[in-house]
Amino acid sequence: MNPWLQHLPSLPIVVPLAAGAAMLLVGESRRAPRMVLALVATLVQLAAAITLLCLTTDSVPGIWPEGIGVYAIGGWPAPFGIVLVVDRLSALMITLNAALALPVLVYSFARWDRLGVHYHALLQFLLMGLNGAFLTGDLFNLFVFFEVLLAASYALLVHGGGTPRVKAALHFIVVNLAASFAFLIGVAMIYGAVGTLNMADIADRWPALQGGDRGIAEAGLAILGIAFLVKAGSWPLNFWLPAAYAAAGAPVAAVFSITTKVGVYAILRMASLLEDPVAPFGGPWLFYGAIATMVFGIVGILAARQLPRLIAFTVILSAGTLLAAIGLGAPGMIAPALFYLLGSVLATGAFFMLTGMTERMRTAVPETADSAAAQPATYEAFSVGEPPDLHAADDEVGVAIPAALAFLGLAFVCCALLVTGLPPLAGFIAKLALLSATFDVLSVGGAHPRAWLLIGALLAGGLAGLIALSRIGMRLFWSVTGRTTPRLRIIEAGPVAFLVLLCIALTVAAGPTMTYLDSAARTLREPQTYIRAVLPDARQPVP
Amino acid sequence: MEIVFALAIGVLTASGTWLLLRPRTFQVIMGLALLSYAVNLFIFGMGRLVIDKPSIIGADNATDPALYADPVPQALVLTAIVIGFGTTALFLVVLLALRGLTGTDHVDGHEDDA
Amino acid sequence: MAGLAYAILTRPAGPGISSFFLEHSLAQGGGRNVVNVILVDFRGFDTLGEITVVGIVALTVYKLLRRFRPAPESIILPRPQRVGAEGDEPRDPDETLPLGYMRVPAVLGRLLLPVAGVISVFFLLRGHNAPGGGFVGGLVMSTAFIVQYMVSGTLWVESRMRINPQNWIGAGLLSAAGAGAGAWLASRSFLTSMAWHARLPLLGEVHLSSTLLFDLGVYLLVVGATTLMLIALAHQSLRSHRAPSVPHDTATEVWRSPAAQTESGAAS
Repeated sequence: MNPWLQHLPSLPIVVPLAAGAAMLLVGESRRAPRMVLALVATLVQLAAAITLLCLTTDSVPGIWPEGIGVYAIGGWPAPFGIVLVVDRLSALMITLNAALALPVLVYSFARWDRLGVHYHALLQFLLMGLNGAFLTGDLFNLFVFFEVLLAASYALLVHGGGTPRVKAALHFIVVNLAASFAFLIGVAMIYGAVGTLNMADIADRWPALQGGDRGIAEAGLAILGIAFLVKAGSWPLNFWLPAAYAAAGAPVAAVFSITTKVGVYAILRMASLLEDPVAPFGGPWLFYGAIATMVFGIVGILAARQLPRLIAFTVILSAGTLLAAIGLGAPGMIAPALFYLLGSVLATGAFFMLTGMTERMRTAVPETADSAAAQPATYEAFSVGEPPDLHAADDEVGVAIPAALAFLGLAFVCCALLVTGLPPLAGFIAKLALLSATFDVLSVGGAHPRAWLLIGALLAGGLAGLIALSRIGMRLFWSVTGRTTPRLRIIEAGPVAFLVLLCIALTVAAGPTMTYLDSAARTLREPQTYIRAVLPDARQPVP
Repeated sequence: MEIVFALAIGVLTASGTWLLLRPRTFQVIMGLALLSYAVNLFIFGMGRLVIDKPSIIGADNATDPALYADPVPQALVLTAIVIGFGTTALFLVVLLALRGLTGTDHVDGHEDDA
Repeated sequence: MAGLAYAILTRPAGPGISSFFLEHSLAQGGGRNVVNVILVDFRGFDTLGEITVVGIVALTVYKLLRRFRPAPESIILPRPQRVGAEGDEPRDPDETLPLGYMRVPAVLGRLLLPVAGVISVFFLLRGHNAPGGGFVGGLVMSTAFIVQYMVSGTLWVESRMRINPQNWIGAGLLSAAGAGAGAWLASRSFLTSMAWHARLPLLGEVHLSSTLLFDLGVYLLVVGATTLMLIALAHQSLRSHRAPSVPHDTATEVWRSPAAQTESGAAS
């Protein structure tokens, strides 16, 4: 194998780190070099991710046995050193990450990166944290990368300043800090009982644990699960989420749509590795908590009066759907859940960026009292001291013709269809796959009440989304009072169009995608493959 | 020895959690600090408490693991302390910023209508 | 929690991964301080992530405090400053020493700086074999910098010394990442440690390791991050002494900075 290609798994982590650090050295005054650096770094990450994705499929035989690549950091073998493990799920997640990061980056070139300092460096660090969390095979390393991504998201949340953002940041930080403590306690307990930190090694030693050690390890796993659920936005620990996502700037909120999914990924990873998982990983607790999350999301969607808040609640709904699908425990649910994950991340990303553009349409006093908070007042407030040409740049470019409104309206409709799961786009296919998998569970004969509950929640979610989005869409686009013709910039419209087209491509290529996802789900169902790839000389499980 | 250590962790956790749930931001940050002490002590305790066995290999280059304390939790604690300190420092500054912006130190940004 | 801790503390530890570290620390890691070897060598990736977190936090603090003015009623000048004790007038950058009661601390503080520098480098270099390491060294150095700010005042220090902490953060991260990437040139995995023996003319035989470069990166980053946070806070004290010339508008919660923003506010 090409000697440089063997270092590919480390690139998604090292490249954003080096790029962010280099941007710090370049300094705040020169914007062009930083933009170029950011663009190059993100493109390299996308290329690396796609290459890794191709390597995990069976199309390139012989490179990685069974499609799992293991990269030992520092040359130390697992379980003593830290390993990066690229299996189908990880490769999928980092590709999704890069595919979302590129349009977000281009969108923020318009004006968002000038609202504060160090935007691009912080975005690169966020990507580093995300890639690291998806690729790592070590539990404590997972904690470290969770912290990297959380620290970067605190920074990006307060980007642009203003009271709503700082207030949301306060709650965001407190809850996530408490969750990090829970994570640490869980990891410590697992280490104390099992004696290792490597995920594959933990899974390997798990069946052999006896008595008190087993109890401690299971308790540790449960606490760990709570930490993951907080980060995933599961009820009742997700009250911070709507405020934070609604207050964040548009591109930042778009990236946040994937940071939620890291918690779901972690749960999926640990649940699949341990053959006999405990609550809250595999038991009914996970499922009922997830249904409660979905209900909370549905109520929030119906109650939200501003678009960013509504989309934040759809994020909660999608997290709940994924957790419920995992929690139902049927092996056939994983692949549709992953497809749903893909669609929902891309769609909510596009939706958040769209709201950044539609906010500029509303200048009149709105009918609802609290939608004043949705105005970009924070941007105006920080124009004190900013270079004066910021406003001029905003005014001069842009096309003020009805085509702009048509584009915004069309994008809104597409995003709404995707998010609520209505035909003919990817959201519908995802929902259909989930529903059919649930019906399969019913026909097999297990878990009747839970399966019906999931079906009901899925359909209710779609209905609620339809109602709420139509209401807001009509008010945005069809009401004639006090609306200025929006000025559309290609650099902002392009990324949104790109993401919507990507979702349409996902719809068209649903067949091959589902094949890949099925093989990914199959890998997850057979943890021994993973364990054998990471620990070549693992002992056989004690019968 | 173990009972003292365990009780200390328990007391720190309890007081930290109680403070965390208070309405004033200063109490919250004190709670977070106490909780971080408790968690770090807990992680350190995973290596089991031993006396007079630092994890530094002596001049005789003996490498028998029984002669030394478990170094892994100590390394984990160092990382956890640094990360915890960083995030707590950030929280402190956010607290300051919110105080300046809203003029109150209530966690919700506005006083309760009592 | 207490119960959990007691339960774990009283159980004997089973076979785990720590014996590997103890056995291989000296032979393959090249250091006697096993904990430090774990931090920079065996599990150096964790340390890399951790210094990134510290760097990000410092940048966020800077972001928040950059154009921020604390609430005026929360900054009540301490009594000596209100009474107008000698030595508390705004420090004139051209004065060699402050007047009044800060004179002796200023002398001592300034003498401290080179000594602290040497001690911090000493800690950095000895970390592999004895307690020490990049973190402690970095903290000692940044403490010395902040002492300068405390005894001589922000204006005095920044008229003589321009530390750009963000450059230190960037340099630290690049140094650590570079130490890791250097292993690629030897076609080993990222962050594999490599050692060389060199014969230098005056110093004799020197044993160098790439983990020193990594630890140096940690050192630079800790200095940069902590000084950035503390300098950002130091500038708050400058701003609080100047009443806003334009009355602020609490309704929109926007603080209007006076036209003459302090010149050293632009330094960091």
